[in-house]
Amino acid sequence: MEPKADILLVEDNASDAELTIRALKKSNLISNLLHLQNGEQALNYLFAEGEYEDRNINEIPKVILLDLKMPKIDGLEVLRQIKSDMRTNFIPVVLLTSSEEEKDIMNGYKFGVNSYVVKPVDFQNFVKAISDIGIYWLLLNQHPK
Amino acid sequence: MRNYLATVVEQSDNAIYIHDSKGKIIFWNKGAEKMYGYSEQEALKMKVETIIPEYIRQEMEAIMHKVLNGEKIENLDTKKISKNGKLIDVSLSASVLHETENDTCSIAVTETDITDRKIAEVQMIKSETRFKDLFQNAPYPMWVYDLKTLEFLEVNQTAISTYGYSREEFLSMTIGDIRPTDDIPRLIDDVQNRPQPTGLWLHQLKNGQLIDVEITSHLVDFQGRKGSLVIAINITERKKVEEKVRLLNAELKTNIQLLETTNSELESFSYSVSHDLRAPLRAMNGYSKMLEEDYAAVIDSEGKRLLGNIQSNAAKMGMLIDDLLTFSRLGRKEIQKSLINNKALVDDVVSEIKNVPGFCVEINIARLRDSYADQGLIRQAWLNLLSNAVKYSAKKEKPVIEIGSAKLENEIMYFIKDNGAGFNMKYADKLFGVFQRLHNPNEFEGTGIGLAIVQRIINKHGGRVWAESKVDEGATFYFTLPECKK
Repeated sequence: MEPKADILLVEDNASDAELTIRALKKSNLISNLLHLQNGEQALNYLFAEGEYEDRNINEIPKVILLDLKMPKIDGLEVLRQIKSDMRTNFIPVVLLTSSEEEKDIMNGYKFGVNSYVVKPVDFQNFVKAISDIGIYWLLLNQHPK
Repeated sequence: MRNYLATVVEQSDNAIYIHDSKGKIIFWNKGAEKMYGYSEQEALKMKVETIIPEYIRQEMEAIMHKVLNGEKIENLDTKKISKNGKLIDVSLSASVLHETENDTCSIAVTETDITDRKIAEVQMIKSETRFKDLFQNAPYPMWVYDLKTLEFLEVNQTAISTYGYSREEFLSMTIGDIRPTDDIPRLIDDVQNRPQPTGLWLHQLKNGQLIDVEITSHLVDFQGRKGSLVIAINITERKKVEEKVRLLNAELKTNIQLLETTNSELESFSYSVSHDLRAPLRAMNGYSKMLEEDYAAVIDSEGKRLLGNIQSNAAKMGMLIDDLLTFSRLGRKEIQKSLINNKALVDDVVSEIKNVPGFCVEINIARLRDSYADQGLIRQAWLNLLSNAVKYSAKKEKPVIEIGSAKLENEIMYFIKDNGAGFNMKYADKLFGVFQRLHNPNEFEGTGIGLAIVQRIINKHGGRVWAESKVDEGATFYFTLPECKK
């Protein structure tokens, strides 16, 4: 059994994942983070299918940090499935991506993303952005009980 | 009865008169008065010769002699002359009258004025001649063929010179003989079943050469035979040109498709750049920072300097990527025009620039005309030009920037003048190229895309952009926008 995860980080790039985790650690927000490597894993986890068949589907994360560009099932598709399923559509999803393409931003909001954040290239800015996201969604934001 | 007849004769429009065997006129009706202009009174004192033109008097005398001998003349076309000397065409009928009382003979003449008919006939002959001239001298090959036998009935000079057959040869041929054998069934079918006023055909010259022709035909009556008048226009050259146009169009289409492919490739390229180039850069930046943070105790000052260089270079590359993306996005963006208050826009940009710590440039803004353009893009252009002016003049003792506008023919010109480093006009053409820089990075920082973006924005609006400068004497940048049209 996996421990209950508050933050679900869906990121295929190991470096970006490490930087994100480090940034969250710095803000002491790392308690329950689960890093999944791609979209397929993320969907299996959320809907308790495949390798996560035995997971308790009622344990839902407080926030999903989702990368946009991933192999096989990309972030937009994961977002679409989360937001079109009664069991998951209330989970806050933050698209965390390198893309500031108008098209991607637009599509993200069309599919119901809760927040769209472009990862800064500069590390200091990056750390600041990640910790802001963490503080907002984990501490400030009220979640359905 | 005799009275009735007399009235009819009297009232007839035809000239009716009687003269005796000596030619003396003894009766002259109203029709004759009208036709000849002689009153009855005058006529009765005249001999009939008076109204006969001199050159046919002998002839007429002979005819009248025959009439006296009992011959009847009917509808003889001849000429007469009126009192005022005008020649009249008449159709004449004459017969002899025997007066039993005194056993004398006289001649009764009835005449109809056919001058108008004669004129029409002459005109018809003239127009026929004119038509024949037209036919013969037309610049296009023409012929008439028999609809039944398909034989040539007449051909013109151009047909003879174009096809190479003599007139005699043509007249012994049918229209099938100037076509490739394969086309003959279609030709016969067309002529018999669906005669068309126009058509495209392949004709064969005497030397065997094939030409494309456009045929125009009309049904005509040719010397009693049903025929068709044909004009054959050689369109071989035109077809060649049309084919060339068709090929060029196809080529253009392929090129457009190629361009569209290239464009969408470019788009996906810049998309990839945006996604994939930034991630490793972030990693480089992040890991060197982590190294610095986690191993501060074991890295000496030189090591930290080197790490700092890695970070600043990564940051610079990040800026380059951002600028390049802005530039490529501009190419795809549709411009949305609205009325722009340039004064307010520039004030706004200036207040943004002034926020930089240590800002010490004097900026004077003269009257700025409104323009009709994309607000976001024009703001970007002003921002780039102003930042540029500030950057290159900041090292002067008393930096001043002047901004203004002027109305030119059909367009409005805006300028921004600084008293900064300037540049050598020799390199003016490089100024607006992507990644083109006229200064070393240690003199002035920059990615070399700012002015390329300005040029792209202004060109997209149908305007022009240029600059004038002298080294160390400042530079003036100009751009134009089409005149504001509401």
